[in-house]
Amino acid sequence: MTGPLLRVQDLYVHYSTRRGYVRALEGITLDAYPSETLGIVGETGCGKSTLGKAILGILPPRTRVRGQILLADVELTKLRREEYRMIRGKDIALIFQDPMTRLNPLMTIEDHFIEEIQSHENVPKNMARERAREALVSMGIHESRIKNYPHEFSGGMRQRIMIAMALVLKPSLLIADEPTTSLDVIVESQILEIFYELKSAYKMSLFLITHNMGTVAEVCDRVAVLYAGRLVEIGSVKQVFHKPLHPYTQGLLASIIHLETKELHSIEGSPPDLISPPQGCHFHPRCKFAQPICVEKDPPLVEFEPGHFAACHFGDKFL
Amino acid sequence: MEDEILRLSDVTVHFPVKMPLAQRLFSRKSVVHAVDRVSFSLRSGEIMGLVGESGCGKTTVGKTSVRLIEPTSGRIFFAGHDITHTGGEQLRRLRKKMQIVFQDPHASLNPAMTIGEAILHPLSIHRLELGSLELGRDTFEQWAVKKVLSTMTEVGLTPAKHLYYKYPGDLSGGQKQRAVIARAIITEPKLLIVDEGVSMLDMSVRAKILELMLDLKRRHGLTYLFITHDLATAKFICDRIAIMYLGRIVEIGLARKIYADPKHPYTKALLQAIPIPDPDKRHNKVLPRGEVPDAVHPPAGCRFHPRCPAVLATCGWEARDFVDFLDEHLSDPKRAGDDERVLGPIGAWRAEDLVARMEAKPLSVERAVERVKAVLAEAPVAMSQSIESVSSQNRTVIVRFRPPAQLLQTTVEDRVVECLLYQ
Amino acid sequence: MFWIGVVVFFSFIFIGLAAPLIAPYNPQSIFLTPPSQPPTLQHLMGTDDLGRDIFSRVLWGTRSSLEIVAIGSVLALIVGFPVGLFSGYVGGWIDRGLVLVMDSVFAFPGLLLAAIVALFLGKGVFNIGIAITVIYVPTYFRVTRNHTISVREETFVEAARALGANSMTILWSYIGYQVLISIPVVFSLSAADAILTAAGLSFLGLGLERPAPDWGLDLSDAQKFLSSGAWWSSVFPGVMIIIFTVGLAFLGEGLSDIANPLLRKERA
Repeated sequence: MTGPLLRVQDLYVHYSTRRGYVRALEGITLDAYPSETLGIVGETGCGKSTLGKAILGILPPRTRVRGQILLADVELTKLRREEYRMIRGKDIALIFQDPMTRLNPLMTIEDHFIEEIQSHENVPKNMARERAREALVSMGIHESRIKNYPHEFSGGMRQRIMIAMALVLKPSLLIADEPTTSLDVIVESQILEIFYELKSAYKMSLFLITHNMGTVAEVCDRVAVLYAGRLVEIGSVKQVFHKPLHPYTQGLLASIIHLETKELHSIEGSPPDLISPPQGCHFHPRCKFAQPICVEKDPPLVEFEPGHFAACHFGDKFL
Repeated sequence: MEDEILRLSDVTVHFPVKMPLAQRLFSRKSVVHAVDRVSFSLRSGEIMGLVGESGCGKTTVGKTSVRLIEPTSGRIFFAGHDITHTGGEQLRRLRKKMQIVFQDPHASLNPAMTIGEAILHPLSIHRLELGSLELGRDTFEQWAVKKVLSTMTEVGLTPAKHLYYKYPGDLSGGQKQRAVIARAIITEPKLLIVDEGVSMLDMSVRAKILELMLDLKRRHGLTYLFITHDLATAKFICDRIAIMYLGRIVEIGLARKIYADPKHPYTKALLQAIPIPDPDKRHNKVLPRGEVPDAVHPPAGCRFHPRCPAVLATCGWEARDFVDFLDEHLSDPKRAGDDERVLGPIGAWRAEDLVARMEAKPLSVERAVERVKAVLAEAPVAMSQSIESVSSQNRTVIVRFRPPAQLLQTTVEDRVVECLLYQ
Repeated sequence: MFWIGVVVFFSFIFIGLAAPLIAPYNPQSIFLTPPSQPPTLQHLMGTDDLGRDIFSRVLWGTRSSLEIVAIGSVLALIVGFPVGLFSGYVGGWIDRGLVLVMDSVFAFPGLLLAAIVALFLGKGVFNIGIAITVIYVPTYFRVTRNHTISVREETFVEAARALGANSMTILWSYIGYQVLISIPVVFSLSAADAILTAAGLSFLGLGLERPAPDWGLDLSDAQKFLSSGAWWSSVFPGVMIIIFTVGLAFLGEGLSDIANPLLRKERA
């Protein structure tokens, strides 16, 4: 299959709160292809977690959703709850930042696997057990520990268990929401290595949601940058890192502190209130290149070079 | 003059493991070895980084330095005075001079106090020590409010008069951290412990807070102990760094020297593991195996030895390492083959310091000894070299290790390393 | 649910305060009319065996219930809150000892304990108030102590210590303020329970002296006449007890629903 695996088209997600509607996502359009790792990057409040939840259909009740999410031609937004549940886990799987939130402290790891498998496939228990064992061993965990409880594992191991559980049903898309944020750098590297091998071993697509640009550079093929609920730039990692077209991306990349950093950079101001975001381009109040047109017109997502899109009126100036 | 602001001398901090009373009566007292004989000193005006992963003890060192945690043994010196046992009023007054900024700006501020009240609070706590000279013509309240407003402006919390009345919930992460810093510096301390001060902030905001910290240092002559797990930030801001692993400092010295040429294998591993934000520079990493072990029973000798890619035979191999290796071996049916019968189950093995024992099944003691030797042939060379003997006594198979070499701190090229590779 | 509770609560306070004005008859006047009359326009709730107007008695009964609950719950709060705060903060043996004592009192069936205390102290509004206090101190203690223990570990409390704040300051300004949020909830719920206990005490004859108007007392007296069909003398006092108790419980639950997100929001 060469076409996109997942198509998000003009997605709007508005949360209902007492103070008004929070415009968490506005007009998100992107495609994900099989066997590719797409990084979804942004800072607090940009909407990246919301995007992951929207794709999985686990947004809170009373949330307004408009637009389309197509998984291999199945319109996810139109599915009924039961149908969505079947897809969740089997075709799309999710890994959280803190595995403990998903693991039941009263169930052994083996039980978790069996439950996961049996709730999606009609498989006898001993077969499920065998697949569980295989999945764990492939993650570098002793099969002797299959009968342990979640709290008996360290953070890094729990994350591996989560990954193993996510993979056991061989989904075509794996969404990982800040999977290594709370892990130490060495453990994080170990997990990232696993992610790197995943796509070739399993021919799976991976959405890596993170705020860490370093992680994206290590593992991703393409990257999408989100700001205040909008997609501001998307392209291959090389394109975006070497030639960022959107001022926010430029600011973000400049503010990364790495081993060769000689000077500190930051972006003035703070992200806008999503209940009443700025008119036009959401970034204009903080942008040093802002012009009147930026306030008047929403910048459209334009392909400035093959495969490299940005939502900026002046994107071509940065080519 | 380069006087010494802070010195820790052989500081050890052990926490009792929480156990229900009944269990405590029947088992040996277990402690979490959070910090084990750590020594270093900070000179006035320098920024020292204390770097390591979770559980290495860096936060504990930071808190112990300001006596928020009591050391189990060792001594703490502040500006030359031994403050290890200061208490009561004296300790309270000391707090003016040494402050700490915690990791989570959202949790460090009392949600029931306005920003102005929070920053003013240290002034009212220490108000009795203020002389009439400082107050001048103002009442305490007038003077304090003025000082708060000017401190707020200094840290970038502007417009100060407006933000004074706001509650923490109304501020952004960056603003909260500025408020926390303002609160920490208002008593004009000499030492500031920053525990992961920017880790919880967005990247685009971090730089500003770091700049603020550097600025304040220059203006007020502050000395920082900068605790972090982020080596990149530490490289940028620190003059000297100390790398910690499982309660010990494994390498300490000038930051630029250590980053340019790390000596300790753990330091090398940490540096390698940092993701580089440049897709062209993806590299193959040699990562240490496994994860940081349990601080209740830390490995013997050099605590990094079970994971170290450059480990030697004398680094501290012990019975536990053998049992762990055997466990791995037996778990893989392809490798283990028949061994499960002769050498297993793994629970039958007892590991005590340098000796591992197992009660073999009748008539298979000889075979067990043979199989142990065969398994050891597949083990890391350093481990098998450190085994003194594999023997049997009646029905018990005994695997005996040689005692490790003594681990000393050695000076190598302008830094101090604790590693047998350099001894 | 919360609003029903609020309405009930304030209505009853109003009734209690306004009783002398609203009640058509003196609750203690006997033989106003022929005794044991069913509800009529003149006597909305009928009369009891001594010819007293039940409606007036019920209205005045609100006063005594309010008095008892006020004394009892407020005193319990005044004792339980600081002790709980202290106990939670210091921990160690003192805390464990206090918890043991409080739990023992708590384990006692409330009414039984109140009855014992009332037996010793004698009748009268104030004494019953004390009896109620004794039963509810452990509740205030427990909630306060547990909340204190969780707040004690918060970073901002540790930060306060680092600033050099002394224990008293920390207890009141930092911990106490947070814990205070839980108190109205406990108050409403224990008040609801207290009404029942007070009524129970009176029912058992340990409460107020006759002929004071009191729901429990009237219920007790009315028992004898149930079989003869005089339902009004027991139903009305009984209904008042139920409405007030349930109303207070609703208030407590409602407050709890409001307080929880507040707690969470402040911590976030």
